[in-house]
Amino acid sequence: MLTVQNVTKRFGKFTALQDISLEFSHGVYGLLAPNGAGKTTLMKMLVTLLFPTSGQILYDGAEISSMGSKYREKLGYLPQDFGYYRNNSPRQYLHYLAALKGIDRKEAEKRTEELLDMVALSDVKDKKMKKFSGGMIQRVGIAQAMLNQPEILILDEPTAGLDPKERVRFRNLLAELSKDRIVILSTHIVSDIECIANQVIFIKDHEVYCNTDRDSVCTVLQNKVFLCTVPEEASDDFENSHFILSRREEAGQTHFRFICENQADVPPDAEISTPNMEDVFLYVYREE
Amino acid sequence: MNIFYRQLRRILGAPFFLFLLAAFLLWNGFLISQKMPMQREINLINDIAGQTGIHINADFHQKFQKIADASEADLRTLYQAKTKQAPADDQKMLYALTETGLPLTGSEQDRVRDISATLNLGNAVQNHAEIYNGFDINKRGTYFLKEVGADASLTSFLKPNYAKLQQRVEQIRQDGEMDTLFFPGTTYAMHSFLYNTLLKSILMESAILGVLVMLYSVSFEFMHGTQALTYTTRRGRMLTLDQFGASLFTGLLVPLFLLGVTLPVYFSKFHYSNLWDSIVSCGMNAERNGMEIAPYVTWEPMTIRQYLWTSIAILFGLQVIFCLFAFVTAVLCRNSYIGFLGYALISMALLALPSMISPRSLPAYLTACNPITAWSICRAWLTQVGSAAVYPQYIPAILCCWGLLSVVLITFSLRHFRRRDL
Repeated sequence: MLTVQNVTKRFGKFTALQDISLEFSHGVYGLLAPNGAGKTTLMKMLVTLLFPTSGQILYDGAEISSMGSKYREKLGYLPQDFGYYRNNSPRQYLHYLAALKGIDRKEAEKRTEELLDMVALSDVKDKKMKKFSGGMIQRVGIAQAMLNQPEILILDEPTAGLDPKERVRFRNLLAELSKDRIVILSTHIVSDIECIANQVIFIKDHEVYCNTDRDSVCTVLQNKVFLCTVPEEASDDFENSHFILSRREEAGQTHFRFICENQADVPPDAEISTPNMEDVFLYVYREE
Repeated sequence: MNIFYRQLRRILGAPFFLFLLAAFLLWNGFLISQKMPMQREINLINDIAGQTGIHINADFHQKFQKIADASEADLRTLYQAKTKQAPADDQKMLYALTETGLPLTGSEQDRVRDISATLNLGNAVQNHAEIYNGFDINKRGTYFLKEVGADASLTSFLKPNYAKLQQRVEQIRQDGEMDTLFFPGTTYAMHSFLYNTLLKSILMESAILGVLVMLYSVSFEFMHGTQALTYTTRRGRMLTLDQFGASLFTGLLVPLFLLGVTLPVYFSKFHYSNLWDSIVSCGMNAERNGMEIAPYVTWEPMTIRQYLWTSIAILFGLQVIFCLFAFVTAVLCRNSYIGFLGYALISMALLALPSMISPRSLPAYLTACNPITAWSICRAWLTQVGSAAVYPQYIPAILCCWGLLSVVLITFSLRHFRRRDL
C-alpha cells in the first residue's frame, strides 16, 4: 500500500500542496484538478522527483526516499511532458530505459517487442523518433512506463495526444493492469477517469477536496442537474441566471443542461438529468 | 557496465566530440609543420649524437672534431666549386654560399645547411658551459623579492628554495649534468616547442574536450527533458555516477589519443633517438627567456626521456582535476552551455589572478598554485623558470590540494543532487 501522510510541499513561499493524506491500494485512482492545483507536484513526489517539505510518503510502511532503488524498481512513470532522444528509434529508447530499470538485455528485447506491438508502433520501431507525431511519442511514453511491469503505475495526462481509438485501447489496458497493481492517473479528460477509475480524487486549493469511489462522486449533484429548452431570444438571460453545463442551438431553440441547487428555482418545464463526472468537475471548480 | 557502456557510446558518437577531436589533431599537425623548416638540422644533430655520444668530454671532442673537419672540407670544396676562389674563413664562405645569390642545386643547398648546422653545433658545444658561469639563483631571487617588495612570509618561504636551487646549479656543474648534448636551445628552442607549444596545446585541447564531455554527459538528461524518466528508474540518480565514470574515462582517453597521435608524428619528424639520455638541465638546452638566456634547472636530475614521461603523467593528473571540476559544475548547473561558460570564466579568473595580485605576501604568491596557471607554464613544471613556481612542491601541491578539493566538492554536490527537487 502506498500512503501519503500529511504531506505539504512548498516552493519558497508558494504552497503547492497542503497537508495531503491519501492511501492507494490496488485499482485505478483518478486525480482530477484544474491546472496549477498540484496534481503534477503530487505525482512527482510519488516518484521521488520531488521531496515533501513536511509529511511522508510510505510504501508498505517504509519511507519511499529511503527505500531508494527498491522502491523505484516497482515504479512505472509517464510524466506529463517528457523528453526523448530525437535520433533514437523507439526500440533504442526503450532498450536504454530498460537498462536503467535493471532489466536484463534478453528480457528487455522481449518486453520492448511486446510493448511496441501493444502500442501499435511495431512497424516504426526502427524509425527515428524525431519524425514521430505527438500521439506516437505519447505511445512510446506509455510503453516505457510499463517496461518493468510496475507495481505502481503513475501516469500524468497519459491520453493527451491519443486519438479516440487509441484512448479506448489504452483505457482497456489500464483497467486490465489495475487488477493487481496501483494505477494513479491524472487527466483533464474526465471521461477517461469516468470509464476506468475505481476511486476519484479531487484536489482543490492545494488540498484534497474529495476522495471517493467513482459511483459516489456524482451523488453530490443528485437531483440538481436539469435539461431545459429556451427560445433563442431568452437564452442569454437564462444563461446569466443559471449554472450552465452545456448549451446547444437547434431550430431557433437553445437546449441547456444546467445545475440548480434550489428546487424552487427550477424552471417548470425543466427535466431532471443524471449527473456525470464532468458535471461534478465543473461544479467543484466553478470558481476557477 | 551496460549503462556505463551506453553512456560511453553516446559520448564517443557525439558529433561535437568527433569534430573537435579531428580539429585538434589538425591543429597539432599544423603546429608541427611550423617547425618543419628545422627538421634537417635537428635530425643531423641527432645523427651526430649517434656518432659522438651525448657526454661532452675528451672523447666527444675528438669524434666531433672529425665530423667538423669533414664539414669544413666539404665547405671548402663547395665554395671553391661555386666561386672559383680560394678558401677563406668559414663564416665568410657560408655567407658567400647562402647570402650572395649564388645558384645552388637542391642537394648543394642541403650540403650548405648540414655544414652550417654542424659548425653551429660546434660553437654551441664550445660555449655550452658558459651559461652556468655566474648563474646565481640567489642573486636573481633577491632581485625578485626586492622588486615585488616581498614581506617576511614570502621572503622566508622563497629564500631557502633559492638556496636549494643554487645547490642544484652547483650539482649540475660538478656532476657533469650540464655537459650533455642536446639541440642548441638558443637556435632551435626544441624544449619550448615540445612543452610550451605542443604539450600545452594538447593539455588545453584535452581539458576543453574533457570538460565539454563531462558537461554534455552529466546534463544530458536535463538538456533532453528526460530526467523525469531516467531518474525515476531503478538506477535513479545513481545514473549520474555512470555518466561521471564514462566522461572521466573519455576525458583520459582524449589526451591518450592526442598524445598517441601527435607525439609519434612529432618524433618521427624530429629524431630524438640518440638524445633521450641527455640531461634537461644541460647547458646546450638553455633558451631565451625574456631578455636573458637561461638553462632549465630541474629540481632533480632528469633525462630528456624521464622529463617527457613525467610531464605526460602531470598532464594526465591535471586533466583529471579539470574533469573532476567539470563534474561539480555539471551537477550544480543543469544547463551545459551555462556550465561551460561558468567554467571558462572561473578558469580565466584563475589564470588572471596571479598576475593581477602583486605577489608581495606568501598567500598572494601562492595564488599561482592552481591548475590553470600550471597549464600556462607548461615548460617549467619540473624546473625553475619564471617566478611563479620557485618551490619543488609546486606540481605535487597542485595535484594533491586541487585533487582533494575536487573530491570534497564532488561529495558535496552529489549529496546535494541526491536530495534536490528535479
